[in-house]
Amino acid sequence: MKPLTVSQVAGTVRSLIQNEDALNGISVVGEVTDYRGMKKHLYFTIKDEGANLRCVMWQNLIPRLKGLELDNGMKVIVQGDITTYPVGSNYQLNVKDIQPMGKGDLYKQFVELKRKLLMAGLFDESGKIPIPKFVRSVGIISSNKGAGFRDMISVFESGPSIDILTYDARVQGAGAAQEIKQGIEHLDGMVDLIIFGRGGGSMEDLWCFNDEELAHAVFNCKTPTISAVGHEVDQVITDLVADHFAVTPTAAAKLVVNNVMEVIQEKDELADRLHRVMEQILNNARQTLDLCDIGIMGRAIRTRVEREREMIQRLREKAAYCTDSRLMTARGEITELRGDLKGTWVAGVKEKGLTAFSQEGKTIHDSASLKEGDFEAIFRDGKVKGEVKEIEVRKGS
Amino acid sequence: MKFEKAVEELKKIVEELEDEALEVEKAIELYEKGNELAKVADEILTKAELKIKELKKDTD
Repeated sequence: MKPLTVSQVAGTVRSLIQNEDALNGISVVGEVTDYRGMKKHLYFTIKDEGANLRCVMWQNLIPRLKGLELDNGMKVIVQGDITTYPVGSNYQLNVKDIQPMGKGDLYKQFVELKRKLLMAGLFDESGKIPIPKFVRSVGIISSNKGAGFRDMISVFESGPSIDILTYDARVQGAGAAQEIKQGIEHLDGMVDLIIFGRGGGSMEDLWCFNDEELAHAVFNCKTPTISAVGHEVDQVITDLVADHFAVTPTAAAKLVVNNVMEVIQEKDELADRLHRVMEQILNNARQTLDLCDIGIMGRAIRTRVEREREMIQRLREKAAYCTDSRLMTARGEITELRGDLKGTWVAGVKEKGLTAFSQEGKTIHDSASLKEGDFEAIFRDGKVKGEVKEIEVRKGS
Repeated sequence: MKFEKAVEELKKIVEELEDEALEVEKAIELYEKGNELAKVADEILTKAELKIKELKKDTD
């Protein structure tokens, strides 16, 4: 068998594919990837979990798209024929039309509005108002029957006291964007902060938050705003315009409550510090004062001790004087007594050898005092007992 | 006075008080001012209650 050329093989493959009904005039569902913007022709790939398919749409067919702009991640239904690209030894889809799949229409609108608002400066960081840390009143725009609303209220109920103004608005379906917009315009200036949003849902459910008029209302609102639309991946337009965005209503409420609690805690800590530092200052002052007191007291004590000492000294001197004078007096008395003694009969007996008589325990100095009976005669060297027999008293004595 | 402003001023006073070179008279004066600010902040807090009020929607 004669060897085939590479081109011959490619030609055979190409003709096989082009004649296969299953590969011509088909619609293929996939997610756009590897799209690098509109060139002369439109090149992109669509994919699913298991495969990729190169797509090309020739320039002359592009007007069929009616302004649809592709974006990576967009789900589409692509119509066309499979053909080969011999130079790359691969196959591709020659695209005849592209339909956004399901929310594709919405997605297209979203992408377009996003671009428009971006250009208009609605997402600029410079236009964002910082979320105040301490708020006393919060306006909530949501459906009062919705789970998101209940979640926010329960967070606020468990936190510090904040006034809540609720504005019941539909957050899904026709008219919802308008009601949310009115809520924002109504609450602007009435509260410290506005939270608008709802719990999660499909892109269609959340669609009202991709409204151009609402976006402008959020942008023009002078009160800080938080867009709190529950979502997992895609942001909504209001997330980009609002001053802050939270991934769920609960997260928004928690942010506010935590901020307020933080400021209150800071205040409490500062008040504590204020008291502590003042106490320290006073303690220091008291200690200094105490030292002064000890100084003063020391002097007082010394003075007093001195005075006491002096007093004691004086007392001692006085006491000494008293003792001396008493002794002197006593001595004097003794001397006197001695003198007196010398004049007595006892002294006469003892010193002069005289004799004393005593009767019934009494000393008898003259004969007239004597009675008849027993008597005692006292000599210098002893006593003699006798009896009075006769008494003769000399006249004139 | 706003709560945040009161807290901010209180912070300044505490920091000044913590400067050890302060005279007692001046410290007492600052302390009284700080105490007043803490009181103001407390009053602001007690005034705020969790009042959940529903606004009537505009009919237009």
